[in-house]
Amino acid sequence: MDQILVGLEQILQLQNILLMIVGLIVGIVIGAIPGLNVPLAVALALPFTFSLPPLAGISMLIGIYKGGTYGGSISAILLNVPGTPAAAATAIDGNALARQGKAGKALKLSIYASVFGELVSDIVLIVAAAQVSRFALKFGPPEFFALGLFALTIIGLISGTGLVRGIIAGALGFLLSMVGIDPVEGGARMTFDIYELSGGLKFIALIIGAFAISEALVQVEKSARPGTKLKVLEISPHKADNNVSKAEFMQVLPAMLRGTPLGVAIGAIPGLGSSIAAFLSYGLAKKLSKTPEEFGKGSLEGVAAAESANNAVTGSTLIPLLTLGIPGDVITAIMLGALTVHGIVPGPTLFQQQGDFVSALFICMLIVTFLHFFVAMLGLPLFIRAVRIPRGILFPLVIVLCVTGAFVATSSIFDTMVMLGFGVLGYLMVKFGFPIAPMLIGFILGPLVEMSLRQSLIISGNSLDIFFTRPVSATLLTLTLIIIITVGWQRFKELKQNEN
Amino acid sequence: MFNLRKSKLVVAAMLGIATLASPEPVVAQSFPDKPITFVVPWGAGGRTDIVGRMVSNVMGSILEQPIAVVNRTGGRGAVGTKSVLDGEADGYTVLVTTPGNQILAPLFNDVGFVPSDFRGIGRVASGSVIFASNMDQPFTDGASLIEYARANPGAVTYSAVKNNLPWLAAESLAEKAGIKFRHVPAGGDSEAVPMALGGHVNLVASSSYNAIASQIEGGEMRALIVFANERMEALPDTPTAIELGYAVTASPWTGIAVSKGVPEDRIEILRNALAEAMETKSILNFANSSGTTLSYLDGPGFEAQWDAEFTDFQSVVKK
Amino acid sequence: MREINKNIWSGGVLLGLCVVLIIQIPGQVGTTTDDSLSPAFLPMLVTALIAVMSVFLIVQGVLTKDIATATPVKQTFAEIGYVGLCILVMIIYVGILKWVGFIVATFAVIVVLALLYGNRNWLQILITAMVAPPAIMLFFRYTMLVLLPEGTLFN
Repeated sequence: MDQILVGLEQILQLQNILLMIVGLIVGIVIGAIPGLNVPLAVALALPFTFSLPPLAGISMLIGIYKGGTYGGSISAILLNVPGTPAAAATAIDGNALARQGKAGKALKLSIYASVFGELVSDIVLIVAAAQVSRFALKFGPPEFFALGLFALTIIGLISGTGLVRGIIAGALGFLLSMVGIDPVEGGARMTFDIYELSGGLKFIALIIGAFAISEALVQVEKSARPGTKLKVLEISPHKADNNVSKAEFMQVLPAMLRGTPLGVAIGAIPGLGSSIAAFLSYGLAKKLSKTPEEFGKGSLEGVAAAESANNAVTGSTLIPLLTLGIPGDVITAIMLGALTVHGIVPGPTLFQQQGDFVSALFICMLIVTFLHFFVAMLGLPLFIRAVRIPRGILFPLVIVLCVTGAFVATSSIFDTMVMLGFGVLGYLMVKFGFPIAPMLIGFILGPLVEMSLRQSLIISGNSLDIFFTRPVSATLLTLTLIIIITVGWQRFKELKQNEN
Repeated sequence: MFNLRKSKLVVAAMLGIATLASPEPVVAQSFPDKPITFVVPWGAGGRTDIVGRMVSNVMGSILEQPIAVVNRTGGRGAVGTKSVLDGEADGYTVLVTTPGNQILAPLFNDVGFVPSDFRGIGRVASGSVIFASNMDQPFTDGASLIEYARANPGAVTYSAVKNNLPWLAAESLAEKAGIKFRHVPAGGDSEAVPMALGGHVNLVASSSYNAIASQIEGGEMRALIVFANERMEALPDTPTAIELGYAVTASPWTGIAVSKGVPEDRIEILRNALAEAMETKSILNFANSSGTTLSYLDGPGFEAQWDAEFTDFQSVVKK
Repeated sequence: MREINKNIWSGGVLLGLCVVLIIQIPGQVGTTTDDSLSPAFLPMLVTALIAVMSVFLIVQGVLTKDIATATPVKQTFAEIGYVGLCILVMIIYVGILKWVGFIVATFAVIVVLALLYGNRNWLQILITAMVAPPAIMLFFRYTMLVLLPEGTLFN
């Protein structure tokens, strides 16, 4: 109790609260602007934190992190351009809703779902950090492999129209992720003697190109059709289309209640990240929904599932960071840096030696989550107004920001060109009916699956037993198999019915 | 458009709070008269990045020019390293360098540069590779580890990044001791350490004490061998490899370098600025709180170290 | 423009790509003498998977004409023209960025793109093109200490 009071006193200084709000606003804005992303914002804010007291600095970083993770969904809903990779799952149904004039409803639901996920995640972090971290340590290479395979299967199977196209898109992402230096043996792979390719294809280039630039190209086609409206989006004037009713909230609650623990679990395991959480939750929600046919056409459940899981990662990802000193993703790696600069060494001793700091940090997480709700709600009308900018100004600006963002993140003209290449690829995929999201998932999970497979085989001396003798990996692999069989059986039945 | 205006407001607020605005100098000096860029070939938040950002902060105020830090990652640091050579050799592009990207990368891949393509501004920090394991291993210290590995050939697995200093240290030790370790590649210390902590491999070859400090102090891991000339202050009971009878040292350093085409007077200005920076309170404080071992070495000494290590490593890798 | 069958075309192009890759990959992968899984194994496996799936696509395209995914691509030449021009403008923009500098290049690219996107309101275009580039540049320069190219052309 004493510790909590001391923590409360530390955190409730005006400077800290201000920095949280600044962080949140910066995060939401940067997350929402296509081309700029959260890791970039956190990295660039890092030098600022050097000059601040540790708690103030970390308050700001957490604000940026939480705000940015949510902010990506704003542009995903309004423009079909996910500002963050995780928001790609939100874009599927969120943008479909927006096209029906229900942007307000989608945006509000995304705020509710994000804040809900965050809150639960914060609480898990506060209550059960030690227990959860022990669970996370059980994840060795075989478990990562099984989990990667499981996620790939779920996400592959839900990719909407055309299983074949989903698999192709996923495999393409996997293949593209393997360009560069082979992480196991260190040799160059598929670089075709182009020097810059030895650095691999950058994830940021794929995100910006395949989602934002491809959408900009789809939009430019409209110039060829006379009579197209100048506005990007029509917003319905009816109140019911801009609010989430109680009945609707109750209807999506199960999806949120599934998505949140999923997000919490995935955040607690280092190396997975929020996009996998969002897509897994989206896939599960579709599989378990009473109205799966609405997914992709503006399902509220889809938005709630993706957003709750996506933001539920933000609290639990601090579990491995604080208890083990292990950063789970780029953002927590930067936070680790910010902490160590101030002499705060996360790990087993942190809770004993710096108890005050830890409890202050926990309170900070909760305050940021509450502030997040208000800042986002206040900002909402402004975001909707941003879509009133005519297409002929908005998309040129989007393109400029994408190019600038890619250039700043990679500081390389070559990688910026690669980003444009992904844009053209994404456009062609849309035109030929291939979903882009599985490519993203393949690109993220590919390296994880490959690395863990090869690590496992080295550990086991090339024996496959290692995947089946360990309980976690055996369970995950069995689940994967069950899912493949049931879905295969369903498809088979559908085909038979079609023939009759 | 709107968002942009909004962010400018934020900017103003941030500047107000952090008071980090850097005024433009009124008089144009000879060098530097515009902002300098530090290229960090590794990811943001990592050891190299943090050291680079701290040094850039202090050097920036000494040189009265802001220093921008960019992370140009990929190809085990080789891409960012090469990019410094590709730009104009005017001294405005500076490399934050480590053995992995500058000395080792050219040994394994066709990267288009050798260490001597650079000029040393100075070494900032250095550490030591450390072997560490969790508490449930069949060995409890360096000597028993080697004994165990000898009795059970190929049974001991270790996690480390491939083709970097910790890996090199482990392989050299194995060769000198006539034993065999199985290397399990990892993406970085942040992946290698949990593998050992969770017992998925027998031990980790860590590139710094920082990465395992909290686990060791918390009694979750034990340090087995330090690859340095002398024992570490923080680990007084952990023997060096030399004490165990195998002359292997591996010291991951961080330093500052520029392309060799940069004019001599500009190199001098940068060297003096770094030397001055290393004496400042902010660097000393930073080292203290972040657990970084400062070990300043001037430019010529730094260059000599590259040459020696390049030759050394070459002979190890060739084998 | 003539309608093309999505399935047959995309399947065919992908299959062609895979064949090229399968021939190319072994030469493109540096292998050492480790006795574990070869670095070429997964690239080959994944490429083979894409190849098999493309064959499925082609078969689907030939056999079924009424499934949703088999709807032909219908695209006017004007649309393709706009997309092509837009891609070209972006490539040129990135290409000249370092040379002419961020502000000038971005000014030009906003004007050209705004026209491409059907905007004919010159006042709007010019204000955006004049305000946005310096605003973006200053934003990066002062909040984040990132320097955008100033250009070497006018030095």
